[in-house]
Amino acid sequence: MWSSRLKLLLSVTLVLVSVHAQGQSFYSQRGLGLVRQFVSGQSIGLGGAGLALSDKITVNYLNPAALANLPVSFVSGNFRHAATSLESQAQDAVISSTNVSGVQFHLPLQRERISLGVGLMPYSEVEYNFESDGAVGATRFTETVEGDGGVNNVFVSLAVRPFNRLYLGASGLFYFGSLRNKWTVIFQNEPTFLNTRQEVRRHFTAAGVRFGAQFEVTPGWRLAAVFSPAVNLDVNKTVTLVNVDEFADFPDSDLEIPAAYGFGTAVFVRKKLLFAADYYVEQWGNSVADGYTSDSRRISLGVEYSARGNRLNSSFLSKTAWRLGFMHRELGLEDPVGEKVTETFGSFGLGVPIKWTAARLDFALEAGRRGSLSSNIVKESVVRFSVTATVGERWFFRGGPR
Amino acid sequence: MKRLPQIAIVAMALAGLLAGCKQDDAIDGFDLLSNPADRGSVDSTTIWTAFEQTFEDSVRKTGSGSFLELGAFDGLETQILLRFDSVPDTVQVLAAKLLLNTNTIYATGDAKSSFRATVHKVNIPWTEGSVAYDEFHTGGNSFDASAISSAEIFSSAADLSTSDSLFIETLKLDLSPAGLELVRNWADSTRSDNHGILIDFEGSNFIKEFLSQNGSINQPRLELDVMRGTVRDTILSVADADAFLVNRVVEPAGGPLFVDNVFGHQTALRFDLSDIPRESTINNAVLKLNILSSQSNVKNSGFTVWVTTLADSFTTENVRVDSSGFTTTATVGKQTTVLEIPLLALLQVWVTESVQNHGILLRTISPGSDITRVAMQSNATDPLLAPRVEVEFSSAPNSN
Repeated sequence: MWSSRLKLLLSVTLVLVSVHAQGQSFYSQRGLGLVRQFVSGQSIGLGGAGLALSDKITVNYLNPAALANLPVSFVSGNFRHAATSLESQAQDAVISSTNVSGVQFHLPLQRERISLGVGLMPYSEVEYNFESDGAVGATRFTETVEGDGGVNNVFVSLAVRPFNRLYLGASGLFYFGSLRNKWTVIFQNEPTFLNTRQEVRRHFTAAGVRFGAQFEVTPGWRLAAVFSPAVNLDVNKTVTLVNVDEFADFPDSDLEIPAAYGFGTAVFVRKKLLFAADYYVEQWGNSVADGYTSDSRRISLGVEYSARGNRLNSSFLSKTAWRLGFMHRELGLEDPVGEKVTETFGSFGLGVPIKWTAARLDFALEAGRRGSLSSNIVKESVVRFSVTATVGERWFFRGGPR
Repeated sequence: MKRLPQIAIVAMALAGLLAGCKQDDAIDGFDLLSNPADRGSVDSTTIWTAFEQTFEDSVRKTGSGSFLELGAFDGLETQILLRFDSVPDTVQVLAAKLLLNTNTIYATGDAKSSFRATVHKVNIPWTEGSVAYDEFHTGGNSFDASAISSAEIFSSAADLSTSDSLFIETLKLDLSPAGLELVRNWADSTRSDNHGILIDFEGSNFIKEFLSQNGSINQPRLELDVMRGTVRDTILSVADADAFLVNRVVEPAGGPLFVDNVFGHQTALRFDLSDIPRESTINNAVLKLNILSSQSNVKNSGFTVWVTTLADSFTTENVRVDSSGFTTTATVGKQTTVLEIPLLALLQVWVTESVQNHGILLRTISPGSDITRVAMQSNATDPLLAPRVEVEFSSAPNSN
């Protein structure tokens, strides 16, 4: 049942999950960190647009309704490497990160009618590191403030296709994670001075839900929508003190993931060109998260060209897809007060078939900026390289493709 | 054409990986830190006294001390009491000398001077554990006005760096016939009028310090020239009780803070630590006391200050020391200008309020041993040199 290629993909995915190494963003200091909106491996090359996509091989992480169109069992995993150049009026820094954007397993309960998906994906990440050297008299020290962590979610999705043109889906989400703030002082030339550390870690869990829908207006045109209500994260605090006798305790305050909704559309032209567009909103303006003053809004546009080999038995070359995309997002932050923080990215992507029948590697290169020196304190120039592996197998296969 | 996808993949991968091939940097400084409350601090500060008071307890008894003082200096007058209970009655005493070994002197400057020491018979009983100047001299006739011996005392001292040092100076007082008769009476155990002798001074401007019988060597002793039957011999009889009497004829100038050995001077200090956050880790805390040498009497061996914590708020009527609390000592040398006392452990418990801050008490570790006195600057004498604690500390973030 578990073929060698599937075992290989699962092994690689598990390794990537365990080798998770986060990098930094100045803007991850606020709220729950930098929110990630991963739709699918295909959508990265399309500027992030993909709510309305219903490829026979693409496993969708944000719109559960799209799973109903998948014909066989799939395992999908995404790997991302990002490099960020941080620039402010006073200094520059370079930071990099390597992590996994999502892992999902899809199982068709009734081929192209009812599907089940189980997965894990990060929702947000926090990573920042500030450091400064100082001196008290003749004693030198290094003071560090670090933050890391983030929110992840495990989801179970159910997708149905009640009618030929209508796809519906729902995901049960379990949010979990922690946010850690750490302050340390290391004295360098005075052994009698005590190195101190205070580490506050806030753990949280919560349950949520997401609804999705796709509607095939015409065979080449789809509309889509998703919605997830707000979620309160129950917070528990743990404190680690090293050479600190007293801790200035503060009450645990709950955190909130705001409601989110999005709309998308995808149009096929002559079976070789695909145009996709998404509009996605997270209602941070309604939350009390630190630094957020307005909703986060994203617009994504993308185009894909291929010989339209998206059938399972199409030829290798015809399955290769070339993608271009554009994305602009208001993060919902203001830094400084009154100046919105936005990010703009361009992307180039490639989808190539793997030699097996239902498998594909999606590659994407994104480049863009977050913040700007003319409006904000910090500008981050980001380059990201992503790889998504999707491998399908005909488990429990009953009958041929439609 | 077929290779185009592979070429594109490699190019994208190289572009993405090379873009981040530099080592990750931490952001330098905290100007960009969004929440300043996430950051603590590393600071130093000087804490001055919120309360300081010097006070005088009862005069300390000198009989158990290691030294005997004779002379006058810096507003003080001292006399020596000795009693010999062990003169043998099995020999015939032909002659007697009183021997005292010098420890040091209390004097000003290097000019040489001298005074006359005289020895007198004591007429009233006394005990070394309780005798004091006022009680001894009350009623008059406590000692005979006529002297049984005398000698010139010079302003030179001794260096007791080793127990058998050649530099030990010995004062020898030959007893007169009346003194010899007195010694012979001491040998008669049936008599009850052995009250010993008093050594007095005339015209002194310094105080000479001798070793007492409480030491292990060179105690005050009688050197007796005796006949054992037909054999002539010399024996030594060590004093069985001794003490020195001290009278303060001039009060010390007000203003400084005092600690001394004989008059019970002590100093209470309390510091206001409100500027140090409760979440702080104390890395270094040093109490600094500036010494007023012009109003101090410190000999070469120094003066040891004993620091203890107060168990209650200080009042002169009720000074309660926390016997299980922090304690430490520090020695003031003859040349010490600033006495530094580490108080790290005490500051830490005060800052975190695990021990209530009632302040500290400075006092002597050897009450009644000699006339050493230490005077320290106060807020009244010089606010810039008043007692202070220099503290270096780290404070953890306070996210409240």
